Amino acid sequence: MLTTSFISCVIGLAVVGAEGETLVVHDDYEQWEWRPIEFNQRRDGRKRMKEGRPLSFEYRGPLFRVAKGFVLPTGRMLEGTEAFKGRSTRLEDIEVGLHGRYSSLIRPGIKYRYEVALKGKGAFHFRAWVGAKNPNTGEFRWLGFPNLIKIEVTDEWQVYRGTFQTPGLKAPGFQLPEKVSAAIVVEPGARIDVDEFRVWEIKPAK
Amino acid sequence: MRLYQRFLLMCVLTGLLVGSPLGATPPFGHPDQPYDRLPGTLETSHVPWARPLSGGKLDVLFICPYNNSREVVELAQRLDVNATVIMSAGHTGWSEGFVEGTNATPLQGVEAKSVLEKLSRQRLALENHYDAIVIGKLSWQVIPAEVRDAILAHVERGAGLVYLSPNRLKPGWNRREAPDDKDAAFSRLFEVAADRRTQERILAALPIDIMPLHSLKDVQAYRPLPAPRHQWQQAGLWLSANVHGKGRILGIDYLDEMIATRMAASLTPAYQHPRGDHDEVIYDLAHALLARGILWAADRLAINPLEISIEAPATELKEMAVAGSERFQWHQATPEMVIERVDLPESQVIVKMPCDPRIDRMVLVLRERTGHLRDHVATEYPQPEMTPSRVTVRQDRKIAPQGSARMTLPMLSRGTYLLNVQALDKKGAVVDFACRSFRVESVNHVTRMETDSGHYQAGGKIQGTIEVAEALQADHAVEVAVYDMWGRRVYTGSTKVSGERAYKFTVPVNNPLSELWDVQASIVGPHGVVDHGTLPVPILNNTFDEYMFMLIFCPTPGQSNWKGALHARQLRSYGINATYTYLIYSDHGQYFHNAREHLRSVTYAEHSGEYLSPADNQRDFTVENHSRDLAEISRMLRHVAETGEKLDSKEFPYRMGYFSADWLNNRIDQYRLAGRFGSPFYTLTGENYLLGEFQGRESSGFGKTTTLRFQHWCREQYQEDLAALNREWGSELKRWEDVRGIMLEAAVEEDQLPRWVDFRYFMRSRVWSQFFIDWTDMMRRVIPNARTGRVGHDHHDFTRYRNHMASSKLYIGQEKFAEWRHALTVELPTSFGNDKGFLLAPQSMIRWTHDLESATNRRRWPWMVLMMGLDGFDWERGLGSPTLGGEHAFTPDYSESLPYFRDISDEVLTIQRGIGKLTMAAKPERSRVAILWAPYNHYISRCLPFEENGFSGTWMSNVSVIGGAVSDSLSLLQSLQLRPTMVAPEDVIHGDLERRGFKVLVLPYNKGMSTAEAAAIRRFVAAGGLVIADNDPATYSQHGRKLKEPALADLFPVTDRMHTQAHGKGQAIYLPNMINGYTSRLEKDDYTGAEVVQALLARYADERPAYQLLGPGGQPRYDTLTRSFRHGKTTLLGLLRAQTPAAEKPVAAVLKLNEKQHAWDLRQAKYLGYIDAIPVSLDQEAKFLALLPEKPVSIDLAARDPKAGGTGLAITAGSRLELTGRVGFSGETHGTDIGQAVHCRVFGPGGKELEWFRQNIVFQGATFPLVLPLSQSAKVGSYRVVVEHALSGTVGETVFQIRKP
Repeated sequence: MLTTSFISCVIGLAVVGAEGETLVVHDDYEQWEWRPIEFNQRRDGRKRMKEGRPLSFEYRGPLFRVAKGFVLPTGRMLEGTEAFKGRSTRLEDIEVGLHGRYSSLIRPGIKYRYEVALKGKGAFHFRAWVGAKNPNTGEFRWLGFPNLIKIEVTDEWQVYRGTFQTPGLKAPGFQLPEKVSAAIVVEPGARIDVDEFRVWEIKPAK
Repeated sequence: MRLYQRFLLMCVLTGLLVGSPLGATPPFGHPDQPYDRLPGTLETSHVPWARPLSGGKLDVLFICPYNNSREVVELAQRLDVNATVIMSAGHTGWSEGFVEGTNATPLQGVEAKSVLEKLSRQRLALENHYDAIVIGKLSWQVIPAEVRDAILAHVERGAGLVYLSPNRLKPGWNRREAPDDKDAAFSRLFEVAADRRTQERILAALPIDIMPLHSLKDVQAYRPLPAPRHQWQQAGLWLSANVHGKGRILGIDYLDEMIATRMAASLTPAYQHPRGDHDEVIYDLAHALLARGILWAADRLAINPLEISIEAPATELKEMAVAGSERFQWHQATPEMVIERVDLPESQVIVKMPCDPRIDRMVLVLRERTGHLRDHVATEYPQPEMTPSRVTVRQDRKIAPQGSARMTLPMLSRGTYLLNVQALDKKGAVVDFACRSFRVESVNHVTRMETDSGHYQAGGKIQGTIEVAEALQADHAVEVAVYDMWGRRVYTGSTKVSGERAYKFTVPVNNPLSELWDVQASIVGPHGVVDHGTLPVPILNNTFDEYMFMLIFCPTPGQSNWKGALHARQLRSYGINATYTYLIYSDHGQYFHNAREHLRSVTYAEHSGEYLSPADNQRDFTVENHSRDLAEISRMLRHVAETGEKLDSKEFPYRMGYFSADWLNNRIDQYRLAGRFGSPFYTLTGENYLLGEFQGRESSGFGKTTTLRFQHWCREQYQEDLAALNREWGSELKRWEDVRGIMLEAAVEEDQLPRWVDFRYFMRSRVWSQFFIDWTDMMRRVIPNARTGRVGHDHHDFTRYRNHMASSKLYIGQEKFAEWRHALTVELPTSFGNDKGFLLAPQSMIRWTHDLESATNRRRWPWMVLMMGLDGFDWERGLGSPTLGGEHAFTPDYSESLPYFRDISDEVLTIQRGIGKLTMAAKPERSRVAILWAPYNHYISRCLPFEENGFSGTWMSNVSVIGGAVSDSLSLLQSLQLRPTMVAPEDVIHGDLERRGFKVLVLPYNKGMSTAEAAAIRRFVAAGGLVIADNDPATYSQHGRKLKEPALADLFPVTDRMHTQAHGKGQAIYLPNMINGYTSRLEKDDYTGAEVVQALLARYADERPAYQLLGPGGQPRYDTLTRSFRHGKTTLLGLLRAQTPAAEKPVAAVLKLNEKQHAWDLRQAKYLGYIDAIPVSLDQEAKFLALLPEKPVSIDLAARDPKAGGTGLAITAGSRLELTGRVGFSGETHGTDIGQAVHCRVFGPGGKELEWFRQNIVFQGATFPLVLPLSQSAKVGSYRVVVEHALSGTVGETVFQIRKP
């Protein structure tokens, strides 16, 4: 069951979850670093530029700037008045966190609570990559890419809260892994500023 | 190519390659998948101890690792069994073995599990009845519970169970961890000591005294020796026995489960002779021990043993121990029974038969225990090729049960001997067998042999000294005989007395046919040889002119026990002629072993770089590293290179990891020893790098000496103008002393990327590449003219490797379009090294890559290697790793080669019959087109990550320089059948373009350019040259600063479209979108750019291919790599069509020549005619043509000096037969300057080829010499010499006689 909701809020966010909750995502985009641009990033970047699409990150020479803790681009760093608090990130035409940060993160069938500060134009998605394997043949198959969170944002910073759960995707003979991967997705044309993204796993009631 | 494999693995892990179930390629059951195939037809040296077996064969199920399953065949040669086998992945892996990547050749994943499950179920089903089941050292924990239950069910109803080295090591391939707990059931089954009677029945019949086994009465008393447990340390021996239901269980515990996998020992103890030789005698006896164990477990062992005893006078003499051997021995493996030689006439062997009515007769064999060293002593008894030692006496006698026989021992020389006795029934089947050892000792014996040099060369003289224990009696003498590695006696002679116990000898080194000679000294008396000693002497051969097919990272002679020698011997007949040799581990023995097996050594000398241990991969590359100071090591190397003296550690106290003055001094000693043997080159580095380079975060270069050198280099570059440096770098440095390198992150944050470009270029060119230049020069102090190189990626400043590091194993192939994608990898070292290096390509059985996956690809590969200008390729793996199948060229018992390997080998053998040698001796033809390769552009390009095309362009483009715009330009020129030459900025500046006659200069990626370079290019054009450029040439300084005005703006005023600019007598053409991406376009049959460039070259430089490949309508073909080589007036021409989608169908083409030539298709061995247009059916097969102005039609062979041979061609053994071959040409022309090769073979009196005479001779003209040095041991009879012309196929023959002396 996929649920999203939001509550407007412009004041500080609670880091500590309720009892029985485990914080599994806590991204405040405060720390950034310069890292080498990988081969695939160069190739994809050239392709984007040929297509007239903007690069989704800042680079200087062979390095690009990325929020610490992530492997691949996390948008462009925002500071000062543009930021929600301290530093934030601006996302355009990008998937954030699929490799590394949000890889094998979400347990199918388990309920999660989230909150995130957003601003901009278009929709913020937190999307799951649900794949399964046939244990007898070794075959792997993608079952779907459901949005766990989808929020149409406004041009003012707002904090959105809600819960989500991976929908029950199945294929005969295939077994879901214990955890599936996810990513923040901002489609082309949208521009979303993000900060203070947190997700708690809610312990199932006995 | 481990990093490529790592990349593939990464792709899998990151989800880029998902969706396919894991399995082997080829899959189980495919003719190229060796798993579960054991034809058992290859016979090796053995004694058929219990074969045939009285009472009939045993049915035995063996469970043992795939890569040692040959041992089942070995056992079956000695014990009469119907063998069924279940092959596991390893000693500690059931179905999960080692695999590299999704296209790995072993079975993996679901396939591995299900195949093994099915085979185990079938073969352990209770419908099958086994006399015994044998488990070859697999961990009991690793065997699945249902398999263990099935094994025990068989035992319960009566099958015997023999478990070699019972153990419970933890599961996981190649794991060597003892279990944490005890298992009561395991202990009951396999840890109850065998009683004395059982032990005697199994062991008493064997010469345990000479076996390197530490017999234990109490297994708990076992303690490893203090020395590290190495491969040649003796194993233990403890027997356990029990019953389970109706079945007997025997444990033969060698206590070697931790090291057995290293020694390829699953059914035998882990042991290798300290000298590295495979000890065939001990190996044979180990199988005899297992045979007795199986017979006991199956209740088929004779109840009463036969007995062998020896009666001889007592003596105090005993074999001397080898000094230092106690490190790896619990005891000296020498016979307990010693007979003094003088007592032999009074000594007798007594054999007593047991009371067994089946016994009818006995066979007694007396043999000398040679085993681990070749023995060249002639014998009057025929030596069965398959017997693992030299037979001295063989008697077949009638004998009754309980009867006895006596034999007086003959006069024997000092040594260890074995007496084998087999009791046979009326049908000749073995009832029982036994073996007894004894030692013959002599007071006088050879104590020392020494030569005046560590090695010799042909034409030299070996001078040496022999010392004996006591002064010789009057009727005794010391004699010398020399044997080569073909077993030929090449010299016999006497010695001169040189003191009371010393004798001097001289041996001329005439016409050696092997790289090693065994010099044998014998004390000879009235009763034959008293004692002999052998000294192997290297005969240096530094000629490497044959197409090489080299073993690498696999079992090789002197290593891996039985597998090493067998692997090499089996592969040699398929063209393998060399092996990678570990000087890096100071393993000099390997050179000797290679020479004995007729393999050339290619030396793996060092793995130098800044990665000195695995921990270096885990360093923090975001911070400056000050401890790695490669320039200081370079300084030390240069000191040795210039002075020839070793380093004083006080003067050079610096240490970098294991590098230190003392360590380098030791390496110099090692090089001196290695120099006794030839090596085509010495690998100085493998996949090693500057710190952080691979991650794109270089962190070294901040050491003291490196910084000083950087300061010095900057002063030169900026001509002592610090302000100029600051302008380039964007820095504000006040003094030259402030100049130092900069980390990339700091350069980005401080906006000083040009400083980083300078620094990193300096590090690659003046530190990294200089380091290997210095190392080479140091090595050349002790190995004159040594060629050096690398095994690894293309991250060097090749412009500096003119006379150093120009040989290598290059990473090409193993993927489609390699001849295009990887062409630059070959072109850089060949262009800058002036085609003088020795280059190898890599090939491997680890993964089922493009080169292996079809018969066409397999046939293409060896020719592609030759055409690209390499001298051969290597062949990696072969039952080395614990895998479930795959990684091999044969069935796992080496009985049958696999079809895929034969496809490759057939082509190699064709090339090795003269075509390869002639091509390698020929000069590659290059066009008058040069490509400017300026390596600082690599770093400028890295600062422009999203540019249209980079200086480099693979996933390793941070490190490697291939794959970008330069590669594309090379592909484009190759498409036009033009082979360009790479040139460096300094070549251009110094006028090399004009001096070497280049008409065209291509600037594929030269954004960074110095003003001197730009001026030289301008001069070249002004003088009439043609320059073609893309990617904005000269828009940056050579330091990486963007120029306000491009330095060649006058030559390239328009850069947004194609533009031709006249300048002086020449033209400068800017050609966007023609070079960039050409390689990937070609792969899709899109040749955009080729026609334009072809037209420009023809119009402005009159540059056209010497051989034009045209389509049916006369249009040029751009899809074929064309390479030509010249030897005199002979042209060798290779064609290799790109495997594009269009190449699925053959197409008719014509190869146009400039003039008429006699043409041959060498692969088809077909004369094509005297023509100037050769019709070619252009498919995916490689074509290799020979073009000659005259046609060889005959070959005559005659003695050079007929008188020397006596009447006709008759000659005595030990002399030299010199023949002259004369090639006849059609029209009786003279063949002047025509390069040719002939393949020569000699067949002995029995019609068998004498391999040692096999040779290729390259020559020009009508005559060639053929020299056959005949050994003293050559048989009398008629010999046939056959000479085949490698190009025309013309054959000439002659016959000569070796007459009685």
